[in-house]
Amino acid sequence: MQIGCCWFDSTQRLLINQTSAVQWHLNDREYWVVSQLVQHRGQVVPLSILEAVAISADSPQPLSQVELLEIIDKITDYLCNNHSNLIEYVPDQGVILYAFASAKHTKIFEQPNKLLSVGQYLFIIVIILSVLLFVYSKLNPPELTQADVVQQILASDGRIVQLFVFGNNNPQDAQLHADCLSSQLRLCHHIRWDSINMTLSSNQHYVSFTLGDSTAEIPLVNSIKVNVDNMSVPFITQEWLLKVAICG
Amino acid sequence: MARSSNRLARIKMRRLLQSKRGKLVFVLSIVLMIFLITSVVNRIANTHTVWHFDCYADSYFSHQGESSLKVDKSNLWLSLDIDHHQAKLIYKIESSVHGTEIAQLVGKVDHVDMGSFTYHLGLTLQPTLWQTSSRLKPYLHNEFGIIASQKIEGVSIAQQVQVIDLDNALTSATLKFLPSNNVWSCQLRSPDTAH
Repeated sequence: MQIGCCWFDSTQRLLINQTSAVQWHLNDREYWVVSQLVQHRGQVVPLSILEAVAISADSPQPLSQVELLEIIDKITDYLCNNHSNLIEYVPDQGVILYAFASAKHTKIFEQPNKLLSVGQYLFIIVIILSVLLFVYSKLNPPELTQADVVQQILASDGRIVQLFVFGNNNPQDAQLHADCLSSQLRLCHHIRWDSINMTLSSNQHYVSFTLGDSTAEIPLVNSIKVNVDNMSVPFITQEWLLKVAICG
Repeated sequence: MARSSNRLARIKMRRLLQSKRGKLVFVLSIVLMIFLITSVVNRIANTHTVWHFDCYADSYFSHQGESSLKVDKSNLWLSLDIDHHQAKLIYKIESSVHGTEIAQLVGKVDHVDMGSFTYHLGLTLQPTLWQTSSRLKPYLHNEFGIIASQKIEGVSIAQQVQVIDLDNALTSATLKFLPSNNVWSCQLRSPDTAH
């Protein structure tokens, strides 16, 4: 009967380590324990059976639990290293001899079949990280154009107009223009649009307006471009708003 | 002879695939192939873009010292065509008093930044007949960030056009020219009706 790397010769009461070719002559007690375990392989053999050694016709020789544990340890030591977990002592219940040695996975890299070495794992991780960095460098985050000033204006006819002013890296300038435009818009009797975007050109010489009316059946859109020679002179007046048809 | 060498190659290949190094090479070559295919698809997808924008603005361009209230309204049009790597811009200003002026710029799409939906264009202004007191020329100087004393014709102009607003039906859009920060309100022509 094979137990791991050992051969159990039941007739000669021998346990032969096949790797080292060492023979172990089992005494009565050792033989009793091993034979009981082999007979009930894969099952827990109760302590009561193991402790009641009954080999010869004589009355059973009782075996203390300490002695039994010593025998179990001796057998376990005799087995090869990778089969040492074939025998297991279940405290207060019994001892089991497994049919197969359960594989011990001590290192994560050995699972499932030690496919790659640590170096190769690291190499793959480095490659994946560099690929991710490459992809990330190709992705541009969406740039949202945000207005420097957003205002809501309640016109004298009760209409609410959204005003967005886009300055050019100068929020103060945008705020000044927004204040000027909104104060003039409030004076209008009627505003044709419900959203007004005002954009100042970078050199401050041109102003673009985009006007929209989403309340109309067919949404209306218009665009106005104005050149301004001198930004310090306010050009947004009631007359001008009427002239370019923002009001009226 | 050929068959045996073929078989030998197949055996070698199988051995290579069964070895650790072979598996590693196999996995890495698949990763490399996926990225090559992705980059090719990305390039093809980016180049197949055709846009036709028709933009309009009421323009009130005054001359030096002219009061903003006395300026006549002119109609200002911009048609921007992006056809794969080619870009064409036509500016047209029309007024009852000053007549019509047209300027055309052609060039290439240098690259597209899809994150910010920005087209980086390299443009050249075609020979243009300017009026003596042109209203379009100062505007173009402003639009392309060229100072008034500098020559505008024949010079390579780097321009960015950002689509800052686009409706779901792809009918209207708002374009922003950078670095001038000028904004255009545009209608989109579908590629089928563009020609």
